[in-house]
Amino acid sequence: MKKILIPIAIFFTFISCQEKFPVLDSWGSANYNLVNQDGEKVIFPHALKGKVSLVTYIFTNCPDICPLTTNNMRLIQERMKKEGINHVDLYSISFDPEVDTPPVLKKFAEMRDLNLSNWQFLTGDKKEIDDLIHQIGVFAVRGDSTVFEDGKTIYYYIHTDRISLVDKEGKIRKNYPGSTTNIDEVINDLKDFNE
Amino acid sequence: MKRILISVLALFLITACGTEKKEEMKTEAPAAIEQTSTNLEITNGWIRPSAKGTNTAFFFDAVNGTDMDDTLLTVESDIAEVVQVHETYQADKGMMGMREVKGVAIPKDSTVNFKPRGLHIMLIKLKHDVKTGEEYKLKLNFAKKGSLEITAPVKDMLTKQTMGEHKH
Ligand SMILES: [Cu+2]
Repeated sequence: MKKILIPIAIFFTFISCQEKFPVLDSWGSANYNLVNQDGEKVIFPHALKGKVSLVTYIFTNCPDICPLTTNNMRLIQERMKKEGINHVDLYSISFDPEVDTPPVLKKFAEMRDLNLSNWQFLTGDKKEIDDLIHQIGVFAVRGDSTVFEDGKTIYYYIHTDRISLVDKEGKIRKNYPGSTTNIDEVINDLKDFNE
Repeated sequence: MKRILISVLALFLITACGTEKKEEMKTEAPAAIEQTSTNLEITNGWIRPSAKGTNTAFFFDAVNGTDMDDTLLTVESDIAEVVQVHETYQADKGMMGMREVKGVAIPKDSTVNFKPRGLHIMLIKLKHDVKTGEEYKLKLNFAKKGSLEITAPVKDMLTKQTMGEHKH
């Protein structure tokens, strides 16, 4: 009797973890050619495999929501360091790649004094980025814009506000509400999650 | 015996993944009444740091301690090419957006908070880097009060609030 119940207990333990971090989305077999803030090629999500990742989606002309989300990523990174969590990397993907070139992303990180040792800012061709985000249900559509005297226009995106927990296989296992993410919740999840 | 084992099973189920934490909902309180003056004042102003050529936001509390309703019409600043009064709003599918608003009512005996995820002043296309520790002048134009000039520091407020010992 005991012998049967112990495997059952283990089985249930496993199942309940699966339920807490079910596979929500994935990029399937697709890969996207991106570049980071230093102009280095990053094949996404291939480059993420083997480590757990937190991925967020931003644009640098965003004055309100994205800075909050970015700040949450920074707070998570600081807590990870404090708590010895080192199996997790961070990624911020720009959905406004025409503006957010590698130098713009690099400057964005510098202005905020961000630690890029385990955090990369990614950009790429517009089509590539659009495919990447739409595949996982992240949306960024142009809303209001400002036209300058020189004829240049900048757009403000209406966008999904999200941080995704991505497993070692590149599958999305949980989503947090970007700018209002509960840091304790993420840290607790990261302690539990290493697959 | 069975009973013990069932409870053990249940215990495993509960503890397997740690305890689930309910997400704290930060409720937005747009107009808290806190009369601190008999005048119309701007308090707690701050600007988010950002690079030359990009945008940023200016946040503050507009405290109307008078017995007259007023309206914030426009804001002026030398550091940006364009300055607009904006609000952040929730769109479909949980998406967030922002849009220009034409005038914000500042009712008598009330405080209107211009704060992250809500009302803000958009400083568009900065003429130079706006860095933490610096201070800039802004001019707020009201329908009745007229113009109010204030100086606001540049800071990443949230970081400071949450990480007490964060150094720059
Ligand atoms: Cu805005």
